[in-house]
Amino acid sequence: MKRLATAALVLMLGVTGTSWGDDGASQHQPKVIFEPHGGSLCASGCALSRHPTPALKWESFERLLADYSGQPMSEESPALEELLFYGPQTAGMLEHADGLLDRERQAFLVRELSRDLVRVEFRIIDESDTVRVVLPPTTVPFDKRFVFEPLLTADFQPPEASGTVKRVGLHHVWQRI
Amino acid sequence: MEGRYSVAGPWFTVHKIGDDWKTLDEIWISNGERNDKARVQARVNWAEEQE
Repeated sequence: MKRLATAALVLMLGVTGTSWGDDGASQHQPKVIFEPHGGSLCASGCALSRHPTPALKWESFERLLADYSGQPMSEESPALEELLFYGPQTAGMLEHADGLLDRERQAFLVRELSRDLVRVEFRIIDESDTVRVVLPPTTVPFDKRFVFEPLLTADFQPPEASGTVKRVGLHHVWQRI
Repeated sequence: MEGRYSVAGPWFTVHKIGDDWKTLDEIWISNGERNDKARVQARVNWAEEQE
């Protein structure tokens, strides 16, 4: 019933999901606006600017690789989780880390680091299960602040919304909206 | 209503990618005539090309 209500709202307003390129630039979709905010590193959201990802030092990176070498390629590995948390920093350092990881673990880590696009959805749903506000599935890259507008509404004034998604582990992301 | 507005959020949360809707908050909303209690929900999945 909830899915039907959402689908009906989306169809009624004639809108489909939006998508973005790796550089965060619009690809002919007017519904999502990349809006830089703050000046920190790879983070551009106000929340991320206030809580930026710390710099990953080479010694720490080497220690994480050593730990990961003895741990499973799953979220049971704290080192893998941390390497993915550092994301772009890990990817950059990994290019200079020949021989520090076995081939299988390196390939797994590289593949995971290359996944940098997520599909976010947001809604406000009332007690009768009517979706009053919805952001349809919208693809955004990590670590950038986006303004979503307009959100689709039913019997409700159009709100403004913005958000940022950051990867914090193999299967987990942190979101501000 | 001119010049008046309401603010809700921001909400901060951690999602497991691919999980179903996560309720972030319960708020009151209004269409100007009727007030309703509502849930604020979000979910995150991998982009289709990266699943």
